[in-house]
Amino acid sequence: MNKQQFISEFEENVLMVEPGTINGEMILEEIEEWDSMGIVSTLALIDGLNVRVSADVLNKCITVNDIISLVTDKLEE
Amino acid sequence: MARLVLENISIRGIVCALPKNKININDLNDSFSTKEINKISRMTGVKSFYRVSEDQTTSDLCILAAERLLTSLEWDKSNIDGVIFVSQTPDYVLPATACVIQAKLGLSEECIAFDINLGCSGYVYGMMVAAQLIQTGNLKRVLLLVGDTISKIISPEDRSVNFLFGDAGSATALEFERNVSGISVVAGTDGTGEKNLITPARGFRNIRTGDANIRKQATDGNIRSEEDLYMNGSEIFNFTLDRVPQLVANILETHGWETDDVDYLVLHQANKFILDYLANKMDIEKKKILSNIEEYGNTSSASIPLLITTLLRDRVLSNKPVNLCLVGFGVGYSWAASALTVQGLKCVEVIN
Repeated sequence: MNKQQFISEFEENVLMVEPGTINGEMILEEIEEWDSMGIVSTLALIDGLNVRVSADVLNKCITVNDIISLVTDKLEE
Repeated sequence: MARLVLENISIRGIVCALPKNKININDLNDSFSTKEINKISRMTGVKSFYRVSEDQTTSDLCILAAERLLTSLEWDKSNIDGVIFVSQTPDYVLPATACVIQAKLGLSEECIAFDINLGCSGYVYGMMVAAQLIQTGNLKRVLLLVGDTISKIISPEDRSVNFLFGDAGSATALEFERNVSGISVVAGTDGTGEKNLITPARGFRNIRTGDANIRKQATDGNIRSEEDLYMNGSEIFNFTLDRVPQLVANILETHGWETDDVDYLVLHQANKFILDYLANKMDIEKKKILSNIEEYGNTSSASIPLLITTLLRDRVLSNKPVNLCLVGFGVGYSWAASALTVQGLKCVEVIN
């Protein structure tokens, strides 16, 4: 999975929004669909990349890129 | 993890009792929009559940189930040696609800009776304790009564719990019998999870103050009081991923089974998202993993007997042996799994 594919998965399985609506700079708090269920789905998404973080770590993420930085090592170039 | 192998136990019957009121989650209240409720439902998988009225308790449901079970089995009430009540929604802080049940059922004064305070892991725990008492032959017949009425401790304005939990009670009859296949149990605990699934102000740690029952907006945006159930769904999800696949592997190894030997994996019905995710992580055929959360919600300690009585009735009544792996996990954190072969139960019913 590369960064773009991660964002696509994030759109489809976490936020359930149309493809292409999300970019890395977006502020999570300003995304209407980002809620507690989104956090659980994100934990599942990044667990799929063999990364486990506490919910607190996710809660501290400000932007979409902050989430991506948690799994950067696992993403392909 | 603790590993036990228990001999000389037969399960004779299981009855579950549901409250009369079946509620569609869309009809629950108007604090949330249909759109929001549908989104929650997609995640939890819950579309309806049964909930008690104010005057009905967990023990009332369990007594209904027990009466039906005793009648069907034609068990004489004077011959019941023990009654174990497993619940986190007892009638009182004291006395033990099991004592109240002994009297209401009209069981003998020779009968031992005590409560076990566990939730999602409670059914397997209760079976483990009952089996320990029976396997030597010192006790011959034990009633295991397990259930919860979590609806009594949730805030209707807390979206994380309000649309998830249903109520149910169960009664299971266990009896001493030589030369039947053994039951294995694996269980463990991680109490650092206490804060993630808790009612903070219903015990003696946080002594009740004047405003303990006043509902206020919490940091997660939900409105609840210190006496209401709090659930940190994300941490519970992480806990589940950490523990459950390993727990299933351990119980199979302890019992000497391969995954192919399991006919049904009876997982506590936490929520659909967790169940689907676990199903994908574990190397077991999807059709062997049971689910009824859509109709009943998460019924806490009653979820495992409710799955057996609703989905496996004909299978466990038949004389053909069926290999079950029962897996409870959650509040505590506490977890317990058992592997057992059952056949020819005399009574398997759901009443309401």
